[in-house]
Amino acid sequence: MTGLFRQRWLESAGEYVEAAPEGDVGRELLAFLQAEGIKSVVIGGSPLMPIVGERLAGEVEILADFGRAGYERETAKLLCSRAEAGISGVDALISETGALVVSSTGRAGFMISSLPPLHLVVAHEAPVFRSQEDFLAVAPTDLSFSFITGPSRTADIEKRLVLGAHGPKRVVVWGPEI
Amino acid sequence: MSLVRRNIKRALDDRKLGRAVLNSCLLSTEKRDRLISELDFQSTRAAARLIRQRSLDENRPLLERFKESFEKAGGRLHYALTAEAACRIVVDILLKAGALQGVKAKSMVTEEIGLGQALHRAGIDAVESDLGEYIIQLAGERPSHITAPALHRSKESIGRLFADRLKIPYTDDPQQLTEIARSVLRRRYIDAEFGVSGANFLVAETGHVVVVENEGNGRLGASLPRIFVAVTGIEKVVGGLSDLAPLLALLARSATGQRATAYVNALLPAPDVSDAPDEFHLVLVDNGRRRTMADPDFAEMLLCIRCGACLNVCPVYRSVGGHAYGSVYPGPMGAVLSNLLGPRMMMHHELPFLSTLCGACKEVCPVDMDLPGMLLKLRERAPKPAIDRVAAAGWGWAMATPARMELAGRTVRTIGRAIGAMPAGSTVKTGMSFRGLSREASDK
Ligand code: SF4
Repeated sequence: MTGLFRQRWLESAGEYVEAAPEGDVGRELLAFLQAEGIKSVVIGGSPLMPIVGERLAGEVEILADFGRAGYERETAKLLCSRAEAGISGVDALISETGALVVSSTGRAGFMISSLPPLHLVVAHEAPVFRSQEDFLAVAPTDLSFSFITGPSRTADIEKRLVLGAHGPKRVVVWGPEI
Repeated sequence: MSLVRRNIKRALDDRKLGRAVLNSCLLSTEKRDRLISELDFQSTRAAARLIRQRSLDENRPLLERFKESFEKAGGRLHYALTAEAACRIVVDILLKAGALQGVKAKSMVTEEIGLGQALHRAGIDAVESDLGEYIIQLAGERPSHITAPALHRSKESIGRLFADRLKIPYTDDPQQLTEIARSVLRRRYIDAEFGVSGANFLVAETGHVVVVENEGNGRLGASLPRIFVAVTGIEKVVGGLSDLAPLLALLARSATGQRATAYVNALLPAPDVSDAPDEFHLVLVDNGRRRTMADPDFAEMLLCIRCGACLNVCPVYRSVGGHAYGSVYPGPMGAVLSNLLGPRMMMHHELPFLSTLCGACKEVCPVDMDLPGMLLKLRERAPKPAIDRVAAAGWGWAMATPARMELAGRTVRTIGRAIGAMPAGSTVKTGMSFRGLSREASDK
């Protein structure tokens, strides 16, 4: 199922990195950020994020870590829009459509996945569902959530596909080894 | 000359327009066909149709259930009987909150009720954020397609528009134009006090408001500003979250030829969450829908999920584009829907004649609506003079241009042959199907 997820995700112009098993995803993210020359990030709240935050501390500027502190809307949106990358976890992966499920849990999940031009997604431990249907049968009934399939895009000018409309231009998933 | 007839003549005289519309329709149809073939189309659309049928059959109880769930989550629900009432509600919400500048995402129902103009009159500044809508707002135009509003414009004309209005150097590169719009609008998003959007579906059991989009502007509008107002028709309510699955699979493929739309946002009010608005309003618009639900001839039209596939395959739409219809909703679905909504029936009685009744719209429709059947019934209901006038207009003007026929491909070539048997100015029998006409033509 993960193989299908990756295939579909790549077809939607998403990027996929296999997280090393037993590896340290924080270190992998840091290497990626350094290779891309990225200096400022915002980090979302998910169980894995504190580990990531520790790895990145001192190496890149962490404008906000939503797992550690709450922010007012105005502050949150300014920080997220200044960051070069947003790093977040994910609630689930859906293989048939190649989609991420991102919920808004009060930890800026929507802003992190919308405002920075680059979205890095730590997904190697996320549950994988076969289809949208399977996920919807057990979806949270009391939270906002989005299915995200690749970077934001538009084809409003002569049907030419352009990536990076209002949301991120690139979305990179750290997923399980295949 | 009637207005519709004049519009059509103008559209047919504009060769560039014809080419832009046709190319775009052909591309969309090709992508759609490829991805639809992955599904068992007939059984998926049968499932989708059942779900949508329940939306109509049990509309009141579903809406009541939705209201309960949505309000329990902290949302505020409003009901508008007419377009004017809907606009007044939105204006009042924004004025009361002192929210005078904001961002709007693409939505056909807000076009239908004329919300943009109403906000403008009230001194409220709402910038359209969908790229296509932003383009036509800059140009002072109306959308010409329900999912691709700027489909009638070439990249060169968009380049000139941007250079002129935004005072920037000319470029006609879609990538650069998109980036320019992104940076202009990004500032507006950060400052926005409100976001306005349509909604594709409402989930009765949970209260989720579902907004499907590709650009990311929908979710920005629903998470950055302190006030969020979604506006949608009363027919959009479905039972539970699981009902969304076949609808989403069909919508993505039919509307944009994708397996999945980039963002499917299932939004719930959550007033104490930092990336949800303080106030989450939903305005339910009737504007003739309740009346239509009770009309056995046309209730079916409310199954529509606004995918736009019927526009893309329609030989008439392909030839004249959306503006020629002179209605917010163009193409086959528009020719029907425009006559059902608003204060009274048959406000656009000429539009049902802008069809060859070839049946392509019914074939692609993801909820299997009998559009040709409804077009015929509307023709029967049309005031008599409209029939003569527009039969000539529709067939004579739209179909009798050989160059355009050639462009519009095989379907239209066939129609061209049929039209060859119909001298300009002759009238069309209302009950006659295209296939019938075609046969008659070849008999001669
Ligand atoms: S009538 Fe059918 S094909 Fe046309 S827009 Fe509606 S759902 Fe799509």
